[in-house]
Amino acid sequence: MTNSYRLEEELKRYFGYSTFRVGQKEIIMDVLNGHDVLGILPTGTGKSICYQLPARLLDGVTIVVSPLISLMMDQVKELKAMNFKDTIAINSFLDYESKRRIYQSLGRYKLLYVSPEILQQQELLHYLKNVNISLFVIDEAHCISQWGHEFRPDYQKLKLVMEILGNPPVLALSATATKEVQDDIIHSIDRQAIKRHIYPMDRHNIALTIQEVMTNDEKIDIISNTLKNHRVPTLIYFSSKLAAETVSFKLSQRLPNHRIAFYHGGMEAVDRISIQQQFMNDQIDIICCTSAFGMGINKNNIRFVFHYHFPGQIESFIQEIGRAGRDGKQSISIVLYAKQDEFLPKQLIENELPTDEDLNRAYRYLNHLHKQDQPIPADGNVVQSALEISETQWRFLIAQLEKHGIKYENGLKYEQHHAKIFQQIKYTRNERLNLKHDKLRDMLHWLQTTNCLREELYSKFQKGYTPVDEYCCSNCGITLKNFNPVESRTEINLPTWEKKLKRLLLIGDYHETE
Amino acid sequence: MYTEGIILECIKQIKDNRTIYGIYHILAGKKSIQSVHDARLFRLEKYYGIYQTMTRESFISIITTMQKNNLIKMDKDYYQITDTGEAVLKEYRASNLVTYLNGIRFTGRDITFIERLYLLVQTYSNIKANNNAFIPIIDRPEITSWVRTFYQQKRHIDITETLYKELYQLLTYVSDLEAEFFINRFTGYKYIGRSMDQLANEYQLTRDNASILLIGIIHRLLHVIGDESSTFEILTDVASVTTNNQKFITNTANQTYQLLRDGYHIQQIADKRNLKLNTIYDHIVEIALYDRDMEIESFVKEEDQSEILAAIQKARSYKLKAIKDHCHDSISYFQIRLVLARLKELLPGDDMHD
Ligand SMILES: Nc1ncnc2c1ncn2[C@@H]1O[C@H](COP(=O)(O)OP(=O)(O)O)[C@@H](O)[C@H]1O
Ligand SMILES: [Zn+2]
Repeated sequence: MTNSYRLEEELKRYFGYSTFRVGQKEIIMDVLNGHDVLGILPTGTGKSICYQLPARLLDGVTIVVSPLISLMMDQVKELKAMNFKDTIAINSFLDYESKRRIYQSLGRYKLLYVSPEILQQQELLHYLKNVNISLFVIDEAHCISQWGHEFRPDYQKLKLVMEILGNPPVLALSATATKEVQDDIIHSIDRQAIKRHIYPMDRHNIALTIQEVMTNDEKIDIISNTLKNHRVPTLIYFSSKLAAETVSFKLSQRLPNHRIAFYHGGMEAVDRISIQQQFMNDQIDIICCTSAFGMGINKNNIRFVFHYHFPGQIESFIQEIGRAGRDGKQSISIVLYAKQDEFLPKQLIENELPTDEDLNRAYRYLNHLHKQDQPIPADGNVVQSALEISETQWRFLIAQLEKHGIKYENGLKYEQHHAKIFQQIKYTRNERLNLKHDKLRDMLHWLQTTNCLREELYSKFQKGYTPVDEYCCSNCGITLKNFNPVESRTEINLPTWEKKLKRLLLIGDYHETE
Repeated sequence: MYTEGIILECIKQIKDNRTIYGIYHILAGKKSIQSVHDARLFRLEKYYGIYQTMTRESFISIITTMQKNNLIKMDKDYYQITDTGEAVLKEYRASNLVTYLNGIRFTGRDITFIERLYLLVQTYSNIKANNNAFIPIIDRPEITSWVRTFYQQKRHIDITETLYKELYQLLTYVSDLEAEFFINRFTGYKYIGRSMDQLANEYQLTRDNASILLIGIIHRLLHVIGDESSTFEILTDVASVTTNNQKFITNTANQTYQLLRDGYHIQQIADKRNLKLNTIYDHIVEIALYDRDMEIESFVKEEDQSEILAAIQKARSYKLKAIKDHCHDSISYFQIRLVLARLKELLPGDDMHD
């Protein structure tokens, strides 16, 4: 039904690429033939095309559920007035009026990005029921699985949503999913006949190295010694905002010719976009960041990814180093491993889930309200601060309460208040905790192995990997002597504000100073 | 030294009438009646809402640092300015910034103006380079949709040149250093502007000082635009905020005002709106602060006003409790707050501020 010759032509027509990358065509063909598809493709290989092209070719609307619907994406798509006119993102940031306008003409769009939360809204579902849905895409599908590294409770409700929408064909996509997670995804959406397209996720052009150090100063020495001869796009990952900032300042002193900035979720939106875009535009060489950096980053020539702190699980690690070398050229991952850092991810895990103490407090709080015959405050923030728990702990609690039939809609309706529910929640919490500790153990195991790091890193995800000769890993032996990546250009610093203003608005002789 | 200077100025004016958090609320522009009120009462209007993104924690850490650097010291639960502090205050008072800031007039509008301008410049720059696909540096829907509308309205004329001329003209009203500081933040075609942290670093300012300097420059520019709207046609558009929450801080107070004007009594309004009586009182004080045309006589008779004024003099304080203690029991806190809201008109001269 879909002849391959034409698919290449369509790819060229809509996206300007002349060939498909590994996996894209196979997935797209199955999608166009109406099959349910599970696609596991390594980060950066082009998952988006797998639904964007079908969206162009199929009649009706393609819905994409993604946890990463940032406003940015919405606006990029909108302002990309050229070929993406009929694309829209619906999220909770839209004001009432725009939402109404969009809802009433949903059928007009080809590609509809939605957050999992917004799909819980009756109003949206009501309108969606009346449009022809050609494809239901679940991006970052591992979020559906409890065993995945980024479990999102709202993802588990997608099966129900799809039922309401008349069970349209599904395309579930992810970059990191173990066999276990893949099975869980299929089980959660109940599509046993799904076609699996699983591609190996090892990246042969990323060399894997670990350097064991005793102190943080040593880490800074290694980073500056490595980079002083290479001014190339570089990411350095940290597990805390403060560390990212501090080290960014220290490195600026050690590497005065490099342009260095930090990035974390605590910054204002304008500044976050500005740093991201400066990096994309080669105005910054090195970014010291937390895991908040990376989503939607599409820079193809990142040469070094350092881990000043290592993440708590291999999945995150694979994703973070996967931002390097998307152009296929040689790139290097360097983990700076200090034994004493092990407590950091442990602490993060503990802070993510409510403690027994937190749960007891929540139980007493709800019981108290119940006895007083008072409703639970509609504003989640109020409850959260009354219970003195973090946002992630609160989200966990809410999801658990809902699972046990305690609804949180315009304030919780708290009908059942059995201690038993809290027992079960504790049980789930422990399960989740064990899972996270297991994942951390795997990570630590990898950091300490003496075997080939490449072989070990991917063993949980796939059988085998592409062997690499020269730049495999630090356990196989590696030297950066002959590593000569292309250096970044220097930006032109204009001397006066008048000239800068001219450059901004491209007036007259603005470029003469170059 | 801007941040410190401003806080010192606030301490000087407020004395022991409020705790240190009163200052935080003024600077952060907490949309509460109390903070607008305080700004007016202590003549700190120009500082109202000039640092909206400041968190309570960072405010506390600024105060702690000031104390450590011996600019202020604690004395009987209130801060006093030291000699070192006086020197910093003097230095601050000599800066351009003092004459630039006008918080009560521009708060809210300043951010809207600058964000529109960032996006407008970025948009025209890219369009001039025939580049339609760029990532907007500002992604707040209200800003992007304003820019989109603006662009569509003007699409038949090329305003880039005019925009350039106006910006050029405008920036001659500030120093070269300030103009450069301001322009470094802008993004255009293939060129992304500096983040606040980068700017601070380049100009060797703390982040707080950099933020306040930027706001100061914006206030100055808004002032110039307002004075010469015929010179700055495009920029006048960019600076005009039509939504009416300029005049009233909150929408809800506005609704109460509407009902008042329709002739409802306070209790009726409370019932009608399903709000507490105290909330309605808050609204009325808020309206009194913002709308000088509202009569307060129907809530506080003139003789009661005089009594409250006398009590303020006697108490030598703006603390509600202290004032109430010097009044008859029949005078309510609500009435005292109303009089305080109008104090400037009722009490001409400087007699409370020495
Ligand atoms: N067939 C192709 N040929 C060339 N470039 C492609 C192709 N498919 C995708 N790309 C590019 O690869 C990059 C990564 O694509 P994206 O879908 O964001 O990756 P992922 O979601 O898998 O991380 C994008 O810049 C995209 O334009
Ligand atoms: Zn190896």
